[in-house]
Order: sequence, then structure tokens, then C-alpha cells
Amino acid sequence: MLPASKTGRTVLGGAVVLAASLLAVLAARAHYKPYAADSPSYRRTGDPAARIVIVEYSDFECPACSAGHATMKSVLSAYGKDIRLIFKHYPLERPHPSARAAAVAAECAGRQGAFWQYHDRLFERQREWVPRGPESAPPSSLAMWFAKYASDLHLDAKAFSGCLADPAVDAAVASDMEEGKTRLVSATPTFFVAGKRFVGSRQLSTLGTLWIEKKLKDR
Amino acid sequence: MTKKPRGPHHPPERPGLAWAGLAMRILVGGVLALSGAGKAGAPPEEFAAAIEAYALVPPALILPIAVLVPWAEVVAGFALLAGWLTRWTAAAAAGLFGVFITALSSTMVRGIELADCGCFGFGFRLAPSQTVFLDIFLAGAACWLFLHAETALSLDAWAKEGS
Repeated sequence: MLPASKTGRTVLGGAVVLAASLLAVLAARAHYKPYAADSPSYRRTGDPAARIVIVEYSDFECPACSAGHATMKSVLSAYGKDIRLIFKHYPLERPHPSARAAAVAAECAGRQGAFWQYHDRLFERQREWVPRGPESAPPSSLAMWFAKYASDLHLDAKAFSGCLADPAVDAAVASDMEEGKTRLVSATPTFFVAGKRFVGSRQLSTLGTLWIEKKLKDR
Repeated sequence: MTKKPRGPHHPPERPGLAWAGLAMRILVGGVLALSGAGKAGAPPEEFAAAIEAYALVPPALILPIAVLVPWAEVVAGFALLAGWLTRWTAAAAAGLFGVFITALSSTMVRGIELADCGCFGFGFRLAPSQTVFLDIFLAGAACWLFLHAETALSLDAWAKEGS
């Protein structure tokens, strides 16, 4: 029975508006799947029995991820054996056209047991290999830098260059990206610290650290 | 001279305006509802990171704002779509657009480059300059609705029919 008075109809209208708002937000939330598959062993670091697991979605070309890399290093050194880090590729290809190629190169280094060293090199020398401006670097220039870093780390050059062309490696990067999308990762770096999301190095170093302290106390 | 009563049984003096008002409601309300639901449906830390980049708000307020603003957008959006308290929701929408325009313009003046303005939530991005123009247009449309709040097919008109 619909109300007959103006006030009753206004109140009912408000309830309809609120219900529609709630349903719209719930529908948008339905896309969120808080699930992360484990990464290959070379993209995991820290004690397997660590009390806190951090899953990081990152992009080698992103300047904020380079800053996040420094923050993560200080978190790892501060909490040592309590932290286990899992790295996930999340190259944002539109703003960072060379990021996916860098992810593939890091993955290839990982297959030769040097993921973390290569990862550090890509972040620490970002200004060297990332082209200035919005254009992507010529593939030859990127390949040259990636090969140089591989050589610096004494990786097998032939296996490395063969790996860069292997579609299965790019598929592994794509799989991480798909997973990130289902977790509604939209910015990098995004960290899931014991399941809780922190976006950017500032959130990690402030709220994230407090969260780690709380989790360590709780357990 | 007596003024003619209005409402569904007493159509407005200029019905064209009422239908134009409906179009404006759909436009402004649709953008607010979609962008708000996109942000409110995503974890608040995503929008909080975008707000952080503006360097306008004290850190303690960032997360509460990241939770509240998207919900304000969704509710204002659906209120406009339904034509509920149109004058006041149009004023609220104009206020929201005013805040967005000020925040975005301030980053341009201060030379802050935003990777993502965080305006439309997950999956849809516009450059900050494009968003400012869109927001100015939508703020104008919301102001127009504030001045011409009697629109076609609205909950307000239905409520007015009540005794």
C-alpha cells in the first residue's frame, strides 16, 4: 500500500534511493575476489613460516613502485623473519609502455634463479632504461638494457634471450595481471599485508607498519 | 493574478523545460551514480591513494573521505536519477563538482602530476584536464537543475500529488 501523504511519499522515495544506491555498490563489489595464487618460488622471499605474508603487485616502470621498493626493503629489514614477500607482476601498460617487457625480463632472470637481483636492478636503474616521455622505448634499446643487466648478473645470455621470446613467460605475467584485476588492483604498488590492502609506499610505511605491529601482537 | 498549480495533473507552464530537466537529471545523476559506485565498490584504500596524491588533506582524514565521498556521489546520483528532492540534491551535486574542480585545478597550479585523478573509480580513466572540463559542464547542469527543479517523471512530482 503506497502512502497517500506528501511526507510519506517523500520518505518512501528516499528509501528507494538509498536501496538503489546500496544495490549499485553491492553489484560493483561483486567483482572483488580476494584470492591470490602462490607465485613461483623464485618470486617469493623470506621465511616460509613467517607470521606475516605480504603480496605486492608492482610495475617496474612505475616511479611510485621504485619508491615502494625502497620502503619494502626497510620493512623487510625491520621485521626480518616475520615477513614473507610474494611478488606479482602488474604492469600498467597504458602509462608505462615498457613495463610488460621488463616484467618478462625479470621473469626470465627468475627462471635462472636471479629474480630478486634483477628486480632490484630494474628499480634502481629505472632512469636508465625507462624512456623519457610517453613513447615506448625502441625494442632494440630495451633489449640492450635487459641483456646488459642479465650479463651483469652472469646469466646465460642465450637462455635469457630465448626466454624473452617464450609466450609462456608472457602468459605468466598476464596471469598475474588477471589475478590483480580480480582483486581490484588499480594502482601500483599495491600491497596486501596479511590480507589488508595498502596502496602506495606511503600507506605501507605508515598504516602498513602499524598493521604489521598489530598482527604480530595478535599472534 | 493566481499562479497555476503544477504537478503531473497540472503540467508545468513550459513542459519542454520539464523534459530538459529529466535529461539533465539522467546526465548528472548517471555520471555521479556510476563514478560513485565504481569507487564505493572498490576497496577504499584505492581512492585513498588517489586523494593522497592531491596533497590537500591531512593524512588522518584521507581514509574517512575515501569512504564517505563515493557514497555521497552514489546517493546524490540515484536521488537525481529518481528526481527525489531534486533542488537539494542538485545543490549537493554542484557542491561535489565544485570540490572536485577546486582539487583538480589546485594540482595543475602546483604542478602535481596525477597518474590517476581517482575520479571514476576502477577501470575508467580520464586525464585531469579533461575531467576538469567535464566537471565544469556537470556543475553547470546541476546549477541549472537547482533553478529548474520541476522535472518530468520524478519522485518529487509523485510526492506532490499526495495530500
